[in-house]
Amino acid sequence: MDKTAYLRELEDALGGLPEADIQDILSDYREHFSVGLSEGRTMTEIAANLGDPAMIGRLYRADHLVQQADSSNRVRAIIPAVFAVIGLGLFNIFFVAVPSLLIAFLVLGLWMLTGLVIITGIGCFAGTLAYLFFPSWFVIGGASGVSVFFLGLFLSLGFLSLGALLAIGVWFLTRFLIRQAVRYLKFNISLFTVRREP
Amino acid sequence: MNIQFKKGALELCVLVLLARKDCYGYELVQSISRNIDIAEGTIYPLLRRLRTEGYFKTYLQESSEGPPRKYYRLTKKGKAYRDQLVTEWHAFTSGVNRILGEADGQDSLSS
Repeated sequence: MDKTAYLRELEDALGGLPEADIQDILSDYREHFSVGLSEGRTMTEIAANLGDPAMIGRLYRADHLVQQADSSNRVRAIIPAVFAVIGLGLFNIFFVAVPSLLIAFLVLGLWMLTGLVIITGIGCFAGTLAYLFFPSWFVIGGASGVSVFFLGLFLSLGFLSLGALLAIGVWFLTRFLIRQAVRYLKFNISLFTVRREP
Repeated sequence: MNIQFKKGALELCVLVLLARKDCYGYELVQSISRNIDIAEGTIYPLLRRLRTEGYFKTYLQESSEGPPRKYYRLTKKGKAYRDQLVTEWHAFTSGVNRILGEADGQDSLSS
């Protein structure tokens, strides 16, 4: 592979990164080729020693996306970062994809539970209001109207405040898990190397 | 040596080399790949990452042959990080060496 082909393959693999970053990265490899040539190495030799440009490009992309997930306030930014790191190697299907899936299920499950508690609270509140205005809709043997009203109010307040507490707790847990995930992804990238071309 | 294991040491090598003197990319890459079997192209992403973390700065300097080159200089933060990694490395390798020494001792006893 010659210099032009190498740089083109690398540029293709860097797609999606900010243009300034792409140019900066390419200039490092361009400089590498020009110094190597001036020291009497051949283009093929230099390219082979650099390693597969597609893999190197993927490594830069993973780096960039994880960096973004780290600095972004959006929780969703972790998702492309996880996929980019999984794409680095087969090894990561076990060490990144499986734990990510487990954590995603855990977080989604907790958010669904929180949603359910809040919906139950809203339901209780709606029921209590309905009872207040249309008592004839309800068939409640024996209990006095006032106590049913207070029971309804108590239940709706209880569920709503539990829901609010859960939402706060799960929010902090989500943020915490994402911070840990970013640290783990960085660690994982730092272990990644590209083999020399034979 | 295992690839995974090598990469952690790479960071240490880069920081130690730069602590001695400012280097341009090619020079740094050659100093490493002369001693460690690794794809040279992997070192540039590492350099970029360490720069993002604030461990070094870059500047351009004219060269007698060809276009200006990008030099890397260790920051104060980078020096502190190097010291930490060197200490950890010594602790780790001396631990491994002790274990190797004990194993050798047993080998010679049993034979």
